Amino acid sequence: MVAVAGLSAAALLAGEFHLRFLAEILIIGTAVMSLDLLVGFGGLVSLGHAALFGAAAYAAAVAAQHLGGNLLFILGTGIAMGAAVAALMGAVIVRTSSLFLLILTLLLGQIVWEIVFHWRDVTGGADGLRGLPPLSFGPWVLSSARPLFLLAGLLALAALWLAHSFVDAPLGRALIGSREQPIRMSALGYSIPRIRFLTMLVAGAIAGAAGALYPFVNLYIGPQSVHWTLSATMIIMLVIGGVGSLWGAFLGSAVYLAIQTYISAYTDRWQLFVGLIFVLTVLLLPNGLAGGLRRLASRMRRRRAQQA
Amino acid sequence: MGYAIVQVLNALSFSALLLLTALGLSVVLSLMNFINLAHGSFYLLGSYIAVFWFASGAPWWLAFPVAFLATALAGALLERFPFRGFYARTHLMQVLLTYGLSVVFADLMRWGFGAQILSPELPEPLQGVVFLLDMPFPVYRLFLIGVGFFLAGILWVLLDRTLWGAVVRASVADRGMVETLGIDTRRVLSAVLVLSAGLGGVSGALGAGMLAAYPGLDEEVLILALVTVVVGGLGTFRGTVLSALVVGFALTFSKVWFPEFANVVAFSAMAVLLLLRPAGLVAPRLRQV
Amino acid sequence: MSAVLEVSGVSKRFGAFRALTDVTFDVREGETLGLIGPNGAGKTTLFNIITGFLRPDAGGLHYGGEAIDHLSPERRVSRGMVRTFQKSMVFPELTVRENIAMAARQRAGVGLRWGGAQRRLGAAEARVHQLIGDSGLRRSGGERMSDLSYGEQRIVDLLISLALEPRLLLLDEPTAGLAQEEAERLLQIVRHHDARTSVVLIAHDIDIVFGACDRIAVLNLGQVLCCGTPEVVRADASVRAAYLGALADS
Repeated sequence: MVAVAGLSAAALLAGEFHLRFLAEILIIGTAVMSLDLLVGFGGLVSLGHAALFGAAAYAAAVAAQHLGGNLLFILGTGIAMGAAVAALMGAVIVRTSSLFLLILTLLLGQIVWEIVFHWRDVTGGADGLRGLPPLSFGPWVLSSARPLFLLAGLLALAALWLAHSFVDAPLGRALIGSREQPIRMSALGYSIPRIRFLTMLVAGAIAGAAGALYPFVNLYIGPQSVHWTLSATMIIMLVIGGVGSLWGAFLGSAVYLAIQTYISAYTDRWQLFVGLIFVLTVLLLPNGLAGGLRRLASRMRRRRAQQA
Repeated sequence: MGYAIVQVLNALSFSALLLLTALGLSVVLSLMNFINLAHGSFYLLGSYIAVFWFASGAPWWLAFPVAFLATALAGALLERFPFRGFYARTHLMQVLLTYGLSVVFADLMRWGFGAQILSPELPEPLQGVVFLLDMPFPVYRLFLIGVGFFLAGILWVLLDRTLWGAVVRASVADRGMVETLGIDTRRVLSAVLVLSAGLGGVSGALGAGMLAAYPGLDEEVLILALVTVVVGGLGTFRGTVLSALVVGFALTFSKVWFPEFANVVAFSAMAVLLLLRPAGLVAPRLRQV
Repeated sequence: MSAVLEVSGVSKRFGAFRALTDVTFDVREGETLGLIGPNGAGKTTLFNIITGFLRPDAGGLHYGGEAIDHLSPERRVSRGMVRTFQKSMVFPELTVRENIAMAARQRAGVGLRWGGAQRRLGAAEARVHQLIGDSGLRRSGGERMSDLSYGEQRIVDLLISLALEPRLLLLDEPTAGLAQEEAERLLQIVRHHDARTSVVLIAHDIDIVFGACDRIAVLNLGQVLCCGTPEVVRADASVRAAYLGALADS
């Protein structure tokens, strides 16, 4: 409810620049939230998540260049691409864990990056792709900031709902079980590779949907959206927002992107800010801003109950 | 023939550098079960120290001990806070803490040393090339191969063949028992971390002559060192040596044979290697249940 | 009585260490078989081989008359072979109810569902309620696992296994670290569960094993010394010498 109210208020009040900025937060936040399914619920720390997101973004951009920006078609392309790369990555990583998983996802993600970077005919190489056609839905052309922002908001809400339903479903519970007690899970007859593979597919599809919209915010896509440093950035956003809370992902991406956008206007040291906030979060708020806010809310509720 | 020898030596010099950097990581990982992603920062700090030391006119060879001491000091400070509180935490929390610190250090170094690429003015005895079967090869890389493998050897002797090494290994295997012998295991562990940080600094000082020093190099080196440690099987000494050679040769020769898609080939090779040997080249023996 | 599980000639080495040598015995339908032996006798290794977590170097297993050596641990579970572990292996971050539901859903074939199957999910939930109610745990099920006492955790650990409705239940020291009274209660839950379930029980407490088991197999240095009723085992000379020596003399 609060989220819907906030989105509509922003849509009415914010200007062109801010709406695009908010759309970017929502889209990146959606991708970070899909990473939360892996990290927060599966204990699978992937350094290759940007490859799912970025590959989907490129697929959507290339598809739009050749076949136009029909929204449903573009979303479908992104979801398919995200799920496909996730399936490849999933097939490789299902039997590994911990540092091996970290390194394998990093290697696979970088392979995708190398392909994107060197396949100049299709991807534009280091320059990326510019001049994309705007998205369209039926007779409407979604080129100005307001519809793009609303689209990103709908995507975020839908993805959040989907992720919640996944986590609450038996499959999501099994994922938590595989993180907490993998040996017991196999002793209960669960196939852990299967749980992980299915989760990768879901996370890839959500990241792919987010990736599909990403190029159309600024009508540009570049190779840095596939690079592992974006994967690491996503992890930073996730931790600041709160691992395992799902909605914290949006909070984290908002904080990170706000620092990047606003602090960098005043000083070159914005990365220092991000790093310090990140370290302080790890030291002081192990459950991130979402966990901190939740604790604050319950403390206030208790105080109010005491006064009453 | 000469060309092949030069490429092999190129790969060897890269392997030596990887080995030294990866050993710093793998020592804390295998002995303390601690993942330190700030190791790349130690490396880059060492590189910057070497660049400025070489330019200062002081005796050049002192650059290496100075880099060791400076990064060891940084390691000692970090060990007190915040590393010590994270030894018993999960790998995930260690990864997050140390990666966050590396982001902070990266920006601090960019602030202090600038964003441009700094190449060191190599000391005179290490400048120039030697001719091997009529092919030129930089003297500095020969120096790197020699010193790299020599230092790795010293480290092996230190950990495997001295009483101190025995104490370290025993502290890891059975902390309580070693403490009843009157040894402060906390100090043993902090000594290991300080040694590892110093190793990172020396690797950086040595590597500066080959890779120069610039913002972002810390991450590049960290990733390669991490790949080396993981492919080697998480911290066995033999495994790390073997995998430093594998990674060094893979990266060098994929550039020779497939210049356009060098990294794709090298990364794929490493990924396939990890799939074929999911526990690394030399896996420590573990019982699962 | 027919045999549920036949272990024939199983051997396993770890390097130079012979963990198990030519182990042969069977488990009959509905019986409780005690598995005793000093530390390092190979009891847990035997469990790991029976459940498929380890592969034997030699010998084979028959389960319900069928060779199962090629089956993965998961497939063996789906045929009703369920184990517990030496240390408590619950899901500490989840509630009691969710802990048991993890097994109940798997039993109902909906362990990896996402949407649908409401009826089977409801049945699994009902089963969880029933198990908690029957167990005598005075808990509603909404408590987080890590807030329970050790004894209660071990009981939930057992309930998780029972939720799979095992045909063969392998219990690895379920009573270790429990007070006498708690241990009794736990074994009572096992016995009252289903008369057709066969149980293999590893325990260090001799009184418990001799009190609760129909037959007892004694393992020493990876070999079966003796397998029979408590009376037979008590009378066996080799067992007296190797294991009960101190007790028998006193």
